[in-house]
Amino acid sequence: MDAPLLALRNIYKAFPGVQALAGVSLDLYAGEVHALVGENGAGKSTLIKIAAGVHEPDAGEILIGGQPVRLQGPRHATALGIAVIHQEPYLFPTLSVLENLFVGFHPRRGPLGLVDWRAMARRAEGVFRELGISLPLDRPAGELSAAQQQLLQIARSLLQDARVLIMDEPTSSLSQKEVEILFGIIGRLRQRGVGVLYISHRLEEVFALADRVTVLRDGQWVGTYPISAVTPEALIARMVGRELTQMFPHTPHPPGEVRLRVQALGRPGLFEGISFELRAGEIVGMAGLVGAGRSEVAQAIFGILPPEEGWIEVDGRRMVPRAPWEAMAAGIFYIPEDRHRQGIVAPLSVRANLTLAILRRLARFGWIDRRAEDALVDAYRERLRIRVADPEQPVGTLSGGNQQKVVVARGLATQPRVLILDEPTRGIDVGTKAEIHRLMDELAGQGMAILMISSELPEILGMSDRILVMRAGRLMGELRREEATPEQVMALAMGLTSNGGVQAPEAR
Amino acid sequence: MREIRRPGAIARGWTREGILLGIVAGLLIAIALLTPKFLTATNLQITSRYLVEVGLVAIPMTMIILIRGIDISVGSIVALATIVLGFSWSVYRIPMVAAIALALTVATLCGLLNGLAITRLRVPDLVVTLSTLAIYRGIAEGLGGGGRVYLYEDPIMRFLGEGQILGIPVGLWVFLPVVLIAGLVLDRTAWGRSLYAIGHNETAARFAGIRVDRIRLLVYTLSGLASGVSALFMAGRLGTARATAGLGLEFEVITAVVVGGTAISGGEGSIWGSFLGVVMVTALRNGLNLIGVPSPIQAMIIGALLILTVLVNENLRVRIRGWVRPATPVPAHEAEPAPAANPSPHERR
Amino acid sequence: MGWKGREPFLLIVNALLIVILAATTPFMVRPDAAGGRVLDLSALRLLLDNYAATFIGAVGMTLVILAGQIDLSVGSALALCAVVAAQVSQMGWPVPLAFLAPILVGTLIGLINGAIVAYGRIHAILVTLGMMTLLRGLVVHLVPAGWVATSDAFKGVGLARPLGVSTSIWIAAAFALAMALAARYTRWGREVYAVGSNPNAAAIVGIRPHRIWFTVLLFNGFAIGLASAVHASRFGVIQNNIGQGFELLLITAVVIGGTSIFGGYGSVGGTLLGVLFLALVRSALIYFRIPALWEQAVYGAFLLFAVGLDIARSRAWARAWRGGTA
Repeated sequence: MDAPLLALRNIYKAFPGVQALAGVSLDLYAGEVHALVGENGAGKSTLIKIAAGVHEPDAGEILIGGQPVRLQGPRHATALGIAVIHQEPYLFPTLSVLENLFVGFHPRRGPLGLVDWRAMARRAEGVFRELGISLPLDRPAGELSAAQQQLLQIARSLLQDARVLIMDEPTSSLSQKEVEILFGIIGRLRQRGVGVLYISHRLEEVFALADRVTVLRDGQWVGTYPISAVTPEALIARMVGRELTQMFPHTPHPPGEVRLRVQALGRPGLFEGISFELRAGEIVGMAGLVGAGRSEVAQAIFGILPPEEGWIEVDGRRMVPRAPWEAMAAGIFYIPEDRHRQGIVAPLSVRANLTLAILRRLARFGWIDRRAEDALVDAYRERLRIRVADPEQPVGTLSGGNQQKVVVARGLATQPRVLILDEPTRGIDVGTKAEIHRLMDELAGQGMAILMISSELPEILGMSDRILVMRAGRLMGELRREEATPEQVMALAMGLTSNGGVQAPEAR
Repeated sequence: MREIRRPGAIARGWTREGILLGIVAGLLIAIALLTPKFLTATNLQITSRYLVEVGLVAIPMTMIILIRGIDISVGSIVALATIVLGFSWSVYRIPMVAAIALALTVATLCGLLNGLAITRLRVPDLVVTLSTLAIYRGIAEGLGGGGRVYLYEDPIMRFLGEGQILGIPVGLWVFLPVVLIAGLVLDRTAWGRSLYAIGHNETAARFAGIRVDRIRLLVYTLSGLASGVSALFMAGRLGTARATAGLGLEFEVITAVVVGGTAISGGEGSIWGSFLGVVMVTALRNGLNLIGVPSPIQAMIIGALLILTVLVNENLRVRIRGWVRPATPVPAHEAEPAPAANPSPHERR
Repeated sequence: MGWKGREPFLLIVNALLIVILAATTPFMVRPDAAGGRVLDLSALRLLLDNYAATFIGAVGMTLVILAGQIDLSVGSALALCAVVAAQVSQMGWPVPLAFLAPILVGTLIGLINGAIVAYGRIHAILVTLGMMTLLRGLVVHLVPAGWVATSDAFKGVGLARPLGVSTSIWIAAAFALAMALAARYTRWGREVYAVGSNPNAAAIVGIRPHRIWFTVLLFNGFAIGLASAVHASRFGVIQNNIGQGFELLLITAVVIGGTSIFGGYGSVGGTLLGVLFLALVRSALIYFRIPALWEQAVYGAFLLFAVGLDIARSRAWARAWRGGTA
């Protein structure tokens, strides 16, 4: 048998505080569709980045066409025939679709090396014919839909003679119809001898497309199986199977009155018809795949992304939040998902970051009461065990875990009635994770209503009193702590029906 | 309890202003040595009047640049305010006090319009203020008809332009307290700290509940108001109202603010630094005048000063706040906050 | 060049303006001896001649803005180069050399701007603001008398009309055509568009944004030098305050011509129409006896309006950006 197009052998990769990959191997043959599955944090994106030349592995080998290589960057990987189809592509929105196909390697002709637009059009038509698609060559790429942008990426990779196509969650923004088109294209790619590495949470797609499937869990390789040899349940079991450790302190608290009621909240295109209740003293976990719309719902409740339909009620008072300050005034606070972009202000001190949301409260006639501020900072430092030598240090110098604690402290300082945490322990070391969980339990015990968005199943199952599962912008179901199992949550998140079949994503 | 100068700067800020203070002091001494006329009372008084005109506008400009904005229409607002003042008083014969009030109102409205175009229409601040630079001065020139109004006869104008209290020019009595207040506001108040947060990471500031658009609107309006007040002192000093008032003011002000350590990329800077910057630029001008350096050469020197200062300042900053990421994309958890250049060309605010 | 986007609209608007002017003012018609009316294109031709330098400068500015930068020093640079042209022509240099001198000076200015922006890693706005003042100071210093004149030989070039079209227009047309072709058909031109469209993505595909910014600013300097030579040869007398407001005029023309202020979209052809539009507007202002002092306000209003339109168009493309800066 020919050598695989791409082989990754025994790859190790660590980042500060976390071992992302430990001994993962995978290979891909020509004409094969090889699916890669695993939960969030299992290591899939790191593996892709290594294959694409973005990161270098700490240990292990990469072989292309049987030859060991050391990738010196994404351009090198592209030159060797490896292309990645990203969820959020690098596009030139003001340039035409035609040009987007060729940026960086425009075909040229003649003694002056002038750009050959006709050759570009011809080759573009050729690729489109081969893939069985059609895109408006003259329109600016910014006008394309998500599906079309993806097709553009695929066409571009083919024009660059890609042999390996890595598709990262390709269908997360596609409608049913568009997914079918994509499948057709993948079929043609197969015929062309291209190998497709297909990363997806959607098991129905995996079973419809793939020849083999590899499961990763916690950075480790669990197994590679021919698709005929597994069932969806078996896959899920391998994806989640582990002991639920004592990482999740949970004391049952009798839930109090309804603090937050969300009614028919909607923002067309992102989510709709979201209704649920949150009671004092309970932790409600919001589970779902990436792209299900959970953060968007939370940001709508917080007023960052004001809802277009529906309303919320906080302590019985109805409102439609239009700005964060309005939500904060009603007693809601949201700890954002992206610590770096949305959470910390890196160059400012720990102290300034911690008190950022309550500046007005600390101020008398606008003047910040430095003593009260210091006292507050000390209090939260102790309560959350924020490890920092000097509160004047820029918060950017802290570890991820401590940064997260600062952001949480910021929220707690506003004395919210409802606290929303979006991926509270993502990218954080184990020890700090446990501390944050302990804190959440404590807060719930004191009567806080907590909504926790998480993509980590153990966290959802371990911390929540109730679990809400979202999929494609809708609430699919609610599970009580006692009755919830990982399989059930994943099933709801992925759309598996109760009799074990797989259900296609709903038409958008 | 430790005395901290301002958020996020630890010792570095203090040292930067210390260095600046040293440079300014050195400059002043050098000028004084080069020309004995520098330290005479008359000279100091004249210079300080000019200093006030630049300095008043530099204060809101510091705030604007802190939140990653810019306002190049200030000179034109001065022109329009001056024309409104002069012509309403002389042609329409309204009392000077009313003319002053009118001029200040117009100037504030100009600033407000700038702010509204930036926050509501979402047009980048450079483009808005470049347009209004032309529009406001154009209106001033159109209204003024190319003429000028003499304001010598009015006692209020004379007072503003030549008056002293206890030997100190009137302008300083206004300017210095404003510097103090503004400096303290930026250092010690909630509002001031919000500005620094916005300048470093506007998104995070929004997520923390800071009302970014309202703040932005306010600083541009203040810039208009300050330009109006500056116009009053300028008209008083020059004794005339002409549509060419304030030409080039934006350049002097921005140079002073940048020399004073405020970063064009936002989030770094202080009123104290800007004050020192204003002193430096004004003293430099005055000193060069006294030495006999002709005005065009002065312009060249100050132009070069701006360019050099920006080069030095921006490259001393360790953080890379450029338009471009390195060719290998940095993993998300190591990435810097997404840069929002001035204006962010393709990101929405 | 692509006749899509705003160009057809502008063509129509410009045509309309010409018609209005022709109908209501003596712009293009004059009575003849017999009492009838005769088409007289001399005013239009004069207009084009006067704006030749503006056309050239606007082409340069188009490339700068396409790349996502801006250059505020063009007015002062124009003045300096024109002064150089005048002075060397007075010193007796042969006309071709006297033409070359301002071009070299302009290119040098562009080189300095480009080097500081690209290698100092600063956005052009502050640098060119400083340069604007610095160069204006230099101009006033070199021309303390307030104005300087070119030699007659030099001036003669500007007034010549080979084949009935003035040299200024020949030069402007050749330059604009060359640049339009370069923008569309050279690798460099396409890289300029790519960098303006998404500098991060451009870096990822191997284009060096800083290198591009350096070249567009260098090139803009060249364009200003050429424009100043054309201007000097046409007008002969250079006052030391010429060029004030030139940057506003050029930027407005570029944006009205359909180029996005953010970069990555637009065309040279559109800019030419934009210049023509502003020139016609100015003529209209003159003919309708609106005092020249209001001109600035009108230009400023147009700029704001044109950019507002631009923003409305950009909103539709906002979604693609989330991926571009990931």
